[in-house]
Amino acid sequence: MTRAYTEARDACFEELFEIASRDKDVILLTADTGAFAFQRFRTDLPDQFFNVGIAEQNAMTVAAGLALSGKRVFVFGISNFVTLRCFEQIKLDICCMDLPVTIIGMGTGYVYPKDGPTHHMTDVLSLVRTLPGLTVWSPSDYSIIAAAIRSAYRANGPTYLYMDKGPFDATYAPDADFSDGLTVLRSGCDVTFVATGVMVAQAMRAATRLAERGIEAGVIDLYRIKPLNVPLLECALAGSRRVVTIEENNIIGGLGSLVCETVAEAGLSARVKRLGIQDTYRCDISDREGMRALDGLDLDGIERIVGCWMDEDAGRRTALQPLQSVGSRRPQRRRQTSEVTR
Amino acid sequence: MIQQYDSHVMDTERYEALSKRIRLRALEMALHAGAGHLGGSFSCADILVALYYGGLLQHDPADPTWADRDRLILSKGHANNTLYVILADRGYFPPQELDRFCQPGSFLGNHCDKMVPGVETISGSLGHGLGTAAGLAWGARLSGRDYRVFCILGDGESQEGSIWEAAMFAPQRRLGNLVAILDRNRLGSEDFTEDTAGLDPVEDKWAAFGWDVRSINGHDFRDIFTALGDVHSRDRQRPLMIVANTVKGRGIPALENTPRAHHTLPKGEQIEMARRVLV
Repeated sequence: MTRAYTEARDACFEELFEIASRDKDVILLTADTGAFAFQRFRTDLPDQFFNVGIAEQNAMTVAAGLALSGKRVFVFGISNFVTLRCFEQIKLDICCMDLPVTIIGMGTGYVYPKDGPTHHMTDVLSLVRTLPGLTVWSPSDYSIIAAAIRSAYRANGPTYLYMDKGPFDATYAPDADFSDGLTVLRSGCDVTFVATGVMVAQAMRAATRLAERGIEAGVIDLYRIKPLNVPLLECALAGSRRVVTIEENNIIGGLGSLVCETVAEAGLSARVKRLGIQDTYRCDISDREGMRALDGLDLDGIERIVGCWMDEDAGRRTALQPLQSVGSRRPQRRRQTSEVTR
Repeated sequence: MIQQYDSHVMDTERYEALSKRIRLRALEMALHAGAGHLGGSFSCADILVALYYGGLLQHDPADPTWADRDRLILSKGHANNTLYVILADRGYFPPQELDRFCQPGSFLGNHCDKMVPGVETISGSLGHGLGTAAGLAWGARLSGRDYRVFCILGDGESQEGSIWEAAMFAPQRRLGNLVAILDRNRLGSEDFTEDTAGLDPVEDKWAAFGWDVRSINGHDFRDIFTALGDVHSRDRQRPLMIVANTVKGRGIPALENTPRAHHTLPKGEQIEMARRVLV
């Protein structure tokens, strides 16, 4: 069954409600985080929906115990609290025992921009992708959220759904196939954006702006972080000279690292620039775009950074011949030489 | 083979002799490996013997995944030395595997692992087991099954906050099918619990959280069987906490009630003394 959704929690919990209505072994736990859709669970499925209180460590171990008893468990809470607070429980009690537990983390990056570092989810992606056996979805669209729930229900192991509330620029048909884990949304010969989650829409908007300046930017939507579809990502990046990763996450360990690892291990010639939170905490108060601007993740910032990179490369091309002729002492310029001569 | 509780099991000498045999085998296993956690393994040894040999735990070594078996979660997963000896002795895996404890290629490591037949969960990081046990007990309730879930906790472990999250949770769900046994040996890894983050009055704390609490001598089989004898017939909607007062390293005089008993093995004459005690 596929439906078109226009709200993230609806896509998640309406889909889950349909599944739970058919399977009495499906249990939904919330760590005292709400959603409008929970009302239906409370009234129609009272033996399958429970608020276990503000105790995330216990929520995860209880979920593991329920799974060991034969249940398929979904745990919902604010992303930071259902990952950082109880990371070891997820690692040992759920992932290490390969149990069918799905953690639904509400919010990504600066979803709560005015709430300070306690509510900035700028390291979750880096952490969860270190857990062996965990499938990690980072949807950019309501249809992917619904598909991730269906996939998690079918899976025999653990899943993490890193879910933003959007808005998303709806890109996919409700019945689209997301088993590839990534989609090339747009092609461009000058630069390739790799984005995930809510930042895919940002990348698409940035690509449109850059096109107006004559810069052709491609966009890859990486919506399944793990398991990563390595061959397809390698293939999608194979013709790129410049890759820009865009994430509302620390540049260490998240999407940018993932792409660098892939490019390096595949021996691709692309240079990679990682746009993300520059390994810092932000105590600034702003709206979401304002918070993004602090690290150049706003539309103006992306346009500026990519534009500068292009201009810099163009300038280097002009300057390279004399430098090369006298023997450059700057390794990065020698690298540029090979790029130009190629 | 389903073990049934037998009112005639109050043959405490028989269990004490059995317990000595288990401890001695665990000592030899640890010495052979040069590894182990004898202190915490020996403080809860008598409880494990009562559970696995006295019919308190309904289990079937021939069918370790029997759906209606009682579950035992050894939350203090480092205390697996005596558990592994018991599981081998009961037939979950060949006893000769004990000679490969902590050796390369063996499935018997220094903490509990789910891959070991008869072991329900991995454990070794403290504070996880009670929540998992509560989830299992809750799952049994939701599925209409009537197995019991036993969880053996350390008292050093009880300094972890997650234990108290689970302590709040289990009575809320009226998990009368959950039995926690606190191995109250009064020692953590380095110090006495009451000198670091004191637990006393521990019985009052569990009672205040909504548990039925029974305090026993954890090395007295009459006490153990009396406290646990009704677990399959009690109809209370409250989880049960057995505070088992024990001695860390019980059976190895050189280690008894000493902080270094956590992962120190006896040496030289200490070994001979222990062997004499455990024969």
